[in-house]
Amino acid sequence: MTNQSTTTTTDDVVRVEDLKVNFYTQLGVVRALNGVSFNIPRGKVLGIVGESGCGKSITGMSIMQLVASAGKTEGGKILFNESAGGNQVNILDYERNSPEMRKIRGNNISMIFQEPMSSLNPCYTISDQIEEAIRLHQTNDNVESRKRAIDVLTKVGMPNPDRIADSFPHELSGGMRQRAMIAMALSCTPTLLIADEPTTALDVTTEASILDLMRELQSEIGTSIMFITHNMGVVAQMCDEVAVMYLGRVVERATVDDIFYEPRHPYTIALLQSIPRLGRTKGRLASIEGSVPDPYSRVSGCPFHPRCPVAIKGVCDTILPEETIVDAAKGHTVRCHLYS
Amino acid sequence: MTTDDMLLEVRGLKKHFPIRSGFLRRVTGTVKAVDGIDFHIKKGETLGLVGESGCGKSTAGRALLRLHEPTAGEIIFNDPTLGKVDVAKLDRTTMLKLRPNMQIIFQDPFTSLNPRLTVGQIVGEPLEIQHRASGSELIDRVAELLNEVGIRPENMSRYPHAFSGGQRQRIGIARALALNPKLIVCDEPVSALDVSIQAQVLNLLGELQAKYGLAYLFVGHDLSVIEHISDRVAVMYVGYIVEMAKTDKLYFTPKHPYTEALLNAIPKADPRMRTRPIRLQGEVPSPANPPSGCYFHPRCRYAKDICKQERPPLQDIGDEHFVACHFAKELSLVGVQPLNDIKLEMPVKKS
Amino acid sequence: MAVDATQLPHTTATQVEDVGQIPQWQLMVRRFRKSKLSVGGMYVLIVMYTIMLFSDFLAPYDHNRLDSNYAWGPPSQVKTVNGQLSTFALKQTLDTERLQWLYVVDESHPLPIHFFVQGYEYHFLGIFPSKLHLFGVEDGFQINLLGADKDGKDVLSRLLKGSQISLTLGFVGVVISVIIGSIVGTASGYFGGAIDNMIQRVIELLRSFPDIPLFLSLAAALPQNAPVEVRFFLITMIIAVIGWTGLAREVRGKVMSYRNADYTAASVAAGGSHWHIITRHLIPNSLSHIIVVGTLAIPAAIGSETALSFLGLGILPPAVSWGVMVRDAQTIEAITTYPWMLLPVLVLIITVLSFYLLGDGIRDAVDPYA
Repeated sequence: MTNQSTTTTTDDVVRVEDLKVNFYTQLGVVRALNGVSFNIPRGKVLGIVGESGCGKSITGMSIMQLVASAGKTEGGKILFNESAGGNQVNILDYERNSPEMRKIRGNNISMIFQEPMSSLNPCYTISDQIEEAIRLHQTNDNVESRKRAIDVLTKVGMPNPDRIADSFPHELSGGMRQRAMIAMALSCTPTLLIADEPTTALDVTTEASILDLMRELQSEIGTSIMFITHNMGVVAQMCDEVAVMYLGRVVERATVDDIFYEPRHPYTIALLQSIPRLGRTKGRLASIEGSVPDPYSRVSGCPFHPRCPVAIKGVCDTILPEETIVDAAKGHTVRCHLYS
Repeated sequence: MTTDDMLLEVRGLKKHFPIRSGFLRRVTGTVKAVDGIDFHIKKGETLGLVGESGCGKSTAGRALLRLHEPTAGEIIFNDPTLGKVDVAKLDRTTMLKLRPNMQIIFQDPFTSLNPRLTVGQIVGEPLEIQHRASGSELIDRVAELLNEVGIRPENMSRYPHAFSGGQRQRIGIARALALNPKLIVCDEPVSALDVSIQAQVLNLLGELQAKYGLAYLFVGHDLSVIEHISDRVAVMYVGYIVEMAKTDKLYFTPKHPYTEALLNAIPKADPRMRTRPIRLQGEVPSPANPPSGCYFHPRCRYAKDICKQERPPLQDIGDEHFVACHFAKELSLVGVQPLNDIKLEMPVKKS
Repeated sequence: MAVDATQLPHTTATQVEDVGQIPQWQLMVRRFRKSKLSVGGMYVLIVMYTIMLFSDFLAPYDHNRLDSNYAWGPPSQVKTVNGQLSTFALKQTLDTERLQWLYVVDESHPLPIHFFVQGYEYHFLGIFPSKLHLFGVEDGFQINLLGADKDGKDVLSRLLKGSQISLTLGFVGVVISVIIGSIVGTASGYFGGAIDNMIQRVIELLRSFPDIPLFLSLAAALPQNAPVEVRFFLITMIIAVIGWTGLAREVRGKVMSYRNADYTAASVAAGGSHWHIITRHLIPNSLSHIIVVGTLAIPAAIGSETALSFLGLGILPPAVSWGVMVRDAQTIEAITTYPWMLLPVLVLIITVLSFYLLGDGIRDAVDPYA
């Protein structure tokens, strides 16, 4: 067993409580987040896992207050705690573009995305962009900021940091760009790094080296990471704790070991059964019936009940299950009537 | 292995794309997307073709169907009526007769169906082209095909935009099945799908294979999926096949250093089996400007002088295990460990 | 076997069925309807083209009928007299100082307006001979609802007659260039290679000619005394010849992207012929874009006709188009003293604007993410 962490500790970098985000579109209201609650323990990697449309990316964007303008936060709290025992602030109290929010963004919380090209400006060199963040939040000295940029590029394993620093994003390969993004995100040693599917667009060998790099940096700098992904393999390799999301809610929250070895929620179990396991599964995979309902519809009761093989008639289709603690010591909670 | 089992034999298949530039569009170079590959597919089996982006795996799959005109090489197909023919050299009319035997399904369920046509028209199109059916007969056949892939036939008059990704992929499979093919090229058919939908589509492909004795060339990059579905696997690197063997052999006892690195990099869905990746030096070379000798040598930790000078041919080292490495017999490489067998069962209500 | 999502209880089957059955073009129509301005533009154009069809019937007089008693005559007043809609006779006097005709309304001499009267002969839709007109007054007098020009020609009649040329010439010109552009563009995009290369170089060559001088020299080369139909046809051709190149490029780009689509590949894999692929997959998908580009090209074509006629190189009197009428309004005198002479400008602006609004709306409906 690699990780034996607990969530009983009160030292969380971020606590999200009952977060609700709705999107108002021409076709109707999309309830992207229906009351999401979870915590990110300091110095840990929390995996947020789920299928498309479960709201995992919106959750990350909400913490940064970067949700597109059609999305309205309609309730809940995002409590951010910069250092252990320090002041707790509710991020949602700040205006989207207020100076406080801008200070948090980039300096305290950074984000990396699936497609590095979309967040790197093609007109500036890599070092220009890293130095911009450094000068915005840390130092005004050009020589110093350049030195730090080279340092951070070295740290992310760039083979030739001086040369890379002066190249433009389009001159780099996908893996290199993702490294540059990570360098940018880490340049101000943030308290929390939100990684939104950072390796999904990469090839498997590059993915492995980026994950390795992130784990290495995490143990070195101690940054907490919120790792958003749909890939159970990446979760197993990368995270300490996991929150499984389905249709805008966290349905199960446990340590990574519990998620894989003692999953409780039927959705988590079904998800794990449906992935081919190396050297193990031949023939049929157990699959989840149907597909994720379209975002405009509202499902009564437990959001998973229409696809759940063990749903209880008259209960699961009418009553929304509450978050239930199944193992207090390890902080294992689940939202399912079978455990209440 | 009798030769009659053989469905497809590919020898020295090449597909080069010219790089053109300037006002007169002169050819200034070539991208050697596929640069001489050999493989075979037997009736009813699945050959997985795996590699990283840009290695030419999709191009190879499409060149088989002449969706890309092959630059060189032979594609010997064992047609039930025409006998063994070289697809690469067929004229248009003979090709038209052979086409029903080889079909394709695509990666992106959103661009693979024409948004202007109804599901019935989409699935019926191959039947119309080949004059297999018309009128009510066509409708009956389309209904049958849709049933086969788990789409209710009432949906025939609906348009693709009304379906989810997984359902669209099923419609694409129904279209490929329409002409009773012997071989289907599956070009990353589950890469764009959610995990739970991916399992449905993989199961469907398995069922159809068992029922119709289909052979698949399954192009993909997810090594867990490839392992699950393939009887044999070929690994491509910069336009070449570097290793090809039965699935278990390739995964548990790889013989090529690139395969080893690839297998090592799989994110294993088991937190008790965390691995440190093998650090590969540098980047995947561009197929427009590959290195000398073995294309993998600049990144290979076992490379010796000979690797820089000579390109190793794909050799049989016994039991259908083909490797393109000078040291295939000497190196002892590490394959994958089977993941722990976790018993997962649905919970039951304790009362 | 997995379940089709429509069988699941949470999606109301009827609602999904409804949207699923709708062809894509109908979805586009729905999106188009949401844009009020564009729908407005479309209705304005429908009204204009309807009026154009009935222009001879609606016009009280032949567009070239002269009457010096009404030179620079102001718009007629209409009032109800003895329960009849009437206008009045005018008394014409000459202001000798400023050399202007002055008109005084003679209220004692009402002229009742008669409806469905017989007037000059015309061919309805160019086929059925008729003398019927919507309204008119007693012979010997004239009703000029929108005033008269320097020769006493009725502006309303001229506007109506002019619409026959102005509204059709640009339209037909664009239709022809759409046809040429689509064929050339499809061939270029679909076959690619040497054909594409050659076509693109030709287009570049054509486009590198400066537009206006080319336009003018072509127009100036037209026979001066040709009948109006011939002139109309030739000017249409000039507009088409100059306009098709841009269209061909647009179509080529679209066809190229659809040619590389997976559904086209599936069609090839099933053995589809070139003709099958072009007509089944490429043209239907490109069509909406062709319509957008065409719609947005019409106002430019109308502008071209106006410009040519304004310069005296397009439609020539005695034929009338809005461009010809604008030419009549080019003096400062017309603008200050006889403002009704500017009506053709207003009508032109409304037409062109409506086409742009319509085109923008169609574009947004066809490609909501562009």
